[in-house]
Amino acid sequence: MAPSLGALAHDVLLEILEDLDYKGLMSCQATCRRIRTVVASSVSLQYIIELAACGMLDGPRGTQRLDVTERLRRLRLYDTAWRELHWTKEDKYPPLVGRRLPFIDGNMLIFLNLDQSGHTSGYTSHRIPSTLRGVEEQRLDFATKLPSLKRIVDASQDLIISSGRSSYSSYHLRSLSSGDPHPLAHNNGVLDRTPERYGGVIIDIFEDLLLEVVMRVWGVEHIVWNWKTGVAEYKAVSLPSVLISSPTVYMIFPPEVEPPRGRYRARCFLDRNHLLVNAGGPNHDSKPVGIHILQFRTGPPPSRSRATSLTEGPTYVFLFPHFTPCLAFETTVAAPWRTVDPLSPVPFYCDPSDRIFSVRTAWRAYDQGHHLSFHILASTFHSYLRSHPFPRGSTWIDVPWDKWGPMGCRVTQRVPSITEACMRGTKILRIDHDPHHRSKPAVDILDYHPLRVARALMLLRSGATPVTVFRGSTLVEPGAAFDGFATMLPCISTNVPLPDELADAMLRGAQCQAYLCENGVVLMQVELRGQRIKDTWTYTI
Amino acid sequence: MPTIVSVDDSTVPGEGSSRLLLLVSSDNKHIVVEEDIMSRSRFISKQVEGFEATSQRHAILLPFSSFVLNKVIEYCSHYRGYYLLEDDPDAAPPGRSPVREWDQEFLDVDRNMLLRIIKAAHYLEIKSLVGSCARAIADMIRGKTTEEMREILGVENDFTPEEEHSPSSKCTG
Repeated sequence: MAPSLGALAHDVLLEILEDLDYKGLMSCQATCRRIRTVVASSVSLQYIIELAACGMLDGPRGTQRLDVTERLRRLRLYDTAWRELHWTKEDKYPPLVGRRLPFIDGNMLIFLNLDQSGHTSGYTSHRIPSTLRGVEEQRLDFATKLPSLKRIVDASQDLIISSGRSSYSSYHLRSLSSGDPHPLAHNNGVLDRTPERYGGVIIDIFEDLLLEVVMRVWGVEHIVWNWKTGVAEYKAVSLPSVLISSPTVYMIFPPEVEPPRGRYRARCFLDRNHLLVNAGGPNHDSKPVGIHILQFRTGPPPSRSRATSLTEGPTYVFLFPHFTPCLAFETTVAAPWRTVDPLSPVPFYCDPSDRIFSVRTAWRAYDQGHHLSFHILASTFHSYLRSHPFPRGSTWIDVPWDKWGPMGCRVTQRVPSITEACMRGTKILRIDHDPHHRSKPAVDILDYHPLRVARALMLLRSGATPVTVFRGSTLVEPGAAFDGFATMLPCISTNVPLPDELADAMLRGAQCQAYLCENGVVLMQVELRGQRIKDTWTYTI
Repeated sequence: MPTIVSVDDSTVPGEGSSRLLLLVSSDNKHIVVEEDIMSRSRFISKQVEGFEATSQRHAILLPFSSFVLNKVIEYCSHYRGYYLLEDDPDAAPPGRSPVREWDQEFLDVDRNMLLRIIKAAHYLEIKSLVGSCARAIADMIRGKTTEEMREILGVENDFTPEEEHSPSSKCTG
């Protein structure tokens, strides 16, 4: 008789299962009762599953040396905390200067400071405290002589990068927590580009890599720097025709496409192995332009010791024309409410269970009045690549929307009126109220991480948690059958009434801006007839 | 009359070598092996301690075939005299260390054999071998569907239809 795994001892099974990732565990525990029991009884296996379900990764051991049981407990607390929001009483954060958005990364807020003549005099970094995660509050002022065109913050690497307007020749890499040159950066924190003799803008960061975009007369040059070694590792020069209006606003078109006229917005992002340019058309009814993906290397990053010389790209170029028609437009149309950038600077999300590369975007239709539209694409880019390998040579490929991935979907919700919408991580914050109906304004937080949604559906079915689930624009009734999220991505919505003072102001017609931070802070700035009512309300996890 | 199989011709008992053990497999093969080699097994060590206490030595009966037993002995001979952290009962539980290259080659066998080895290793309480086998099995089922996993692992679907589609199988969190 063939031996069976089910007959193995409990701890042997555990040993095997502990070697699996989230996906393997989910499939394996569906094989038989025995294995399901083993999975359910093990704290460490539950931790793996719940981490993935929350879209999180296990952190470093740290100084606290928490065991798995404690980590699981905190994870569960974290996971429920966002549904139980508490507004703070007092302001904690510096007032926003000239309505400029704070730069948000992880639990760091970076506020810009201006001097009397209106020039940048530095930044203030504010670390949001969290007892749950053992993070203390910290506030640090950075004085800088270099007026900054663009700053890049990577809180996970304790890094802030600023570039000088005057010299164009170097980037300054500093530690966020101390303000000193970053200890891991080469050349005492100065990334010197003098050998190349041109000016560009650092657009994105991914681990050791920095993406610099340089505008040339003939187009756009993408350079990938390694900020720890100071080496320019990759250079992509031969992209198709490009329409430029500024370093951060440019479009790339395949050779046969005539670039339409109008104002554009495009964003460029870096992955470990890919470079993406995501571009939106001049207005919402124009043809979608698409996302362009450039694979500049394959496999894991090269080792530090083997500093690679400048490699010419591109290797492959992809075009996804139906990607989204609605990325970050310049909202020049007169709108009934103030326009703010509804996009989070983090439109990519990496799913730990599958290195999923979800690209998402949100948009509100500003000219239709009472109509909020979110176009969300949580897509399995890498699983797409697995089934459709890159062809040899540089090729443009059309990938229709339905082939993009199993989780692409579009969520459209009709709401009475929208004051504010913004997006961060897997969540969308929405504040809506209708002054005519005198309804009490509230904050809605929509969460669409697919695994989190699946989990919430389970809670919903058990009746334990007050969550609202939308499937497309349809409300999913509690207890309704749910056949997975393969074709449609539902949203979970949490509704939180605003504090009275704020709600009253809103009912009297106040305007507000709100920012949602990943770690559970809602920053709000409320103004009534030019007078600031309140700057911030927060809740922390 | 059981046949007596010497595990390795070179390990003829001689001066300076450790004492010999007689292991009897489930197919009634008698295998003579040096005590020293098998000291990695907590089970065997405990047996030997028992011998010492009672001053009586006897054959150790094992519930698996000589084919599997020889494989385990091959493993133990290879790591004879080596210190493996996983096998140290006093050491703190190690994290996931990289799989030893030799183990990978050693365990390049079909799934039936792998399951037999892991069972034997568990019975003999050889932690390092259990760990290496567990990883080899995990590698086999990684990326497979539930149905494929059932086939590889030789388990039957014993869920009722409701259970199978209950949330815990799809979206436990």
